[in-house]
Amino acid sequence: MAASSTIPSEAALPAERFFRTSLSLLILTSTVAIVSTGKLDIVTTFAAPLIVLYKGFGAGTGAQPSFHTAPQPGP
Amino acid sequence: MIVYLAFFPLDALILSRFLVGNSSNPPLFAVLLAAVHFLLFVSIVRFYSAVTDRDALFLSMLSFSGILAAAVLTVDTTFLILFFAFLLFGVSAFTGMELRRGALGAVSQTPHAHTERDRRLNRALGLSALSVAAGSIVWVACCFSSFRASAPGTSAGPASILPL
Repeated sequence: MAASSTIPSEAALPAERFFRTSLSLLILTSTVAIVSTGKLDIVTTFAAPLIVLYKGFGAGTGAQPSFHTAPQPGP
Repeated sequence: MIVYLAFFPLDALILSRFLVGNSSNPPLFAVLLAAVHFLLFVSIVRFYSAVTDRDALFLSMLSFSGILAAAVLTVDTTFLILFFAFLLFGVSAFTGMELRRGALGAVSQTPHAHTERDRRLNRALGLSALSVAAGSIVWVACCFSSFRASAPGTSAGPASILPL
């Protein structure tokens, strides 16, 4: 009974999509903040945000596997 | 990433020297730009290879380092806006991380049947993260304006209209 009511480890955890989107936007904000200083070269200025956006968009559409937590140490 | 460590001196000594311009200390600024390149490279590589929650934490720290690097490189209103956005997404990411960690191993009666509930949870989470970030932004703005108003030798300016 208890075993059937426990969330399996492969099931999507709550707020998974929220978490992935927030993390992607966090990294995108950091990258844009660096790029917007205008001190970097033109290749980095355009490539870095685009690469992050590509990965973030793929994660937002659910194309990527979800994060999983490290196994908890047993008693 | 190890290969990039071999590229780093080349970047610091040659490639970034072209971007230095008329800086007061060109060698130091070139090393700083090379470090920023390295930071961006590591962030992107870890972002593409992140699997566990520990990777997500590491990514959060890397993005904070990016914000610090941007603060070193510029003093601009754009940075302020991006910093507030960083606060918002930081609160959201850590809220989501804690929720996921708390849900690991929790008991649920009907797994895989929470789509509507998950949607409402996502909406409520977004709203709460937005509220917390907006509150922190207002708090920082008020603290900054009170600091400006009370600092000796500076004009209070338009920020003094805030009630602090």
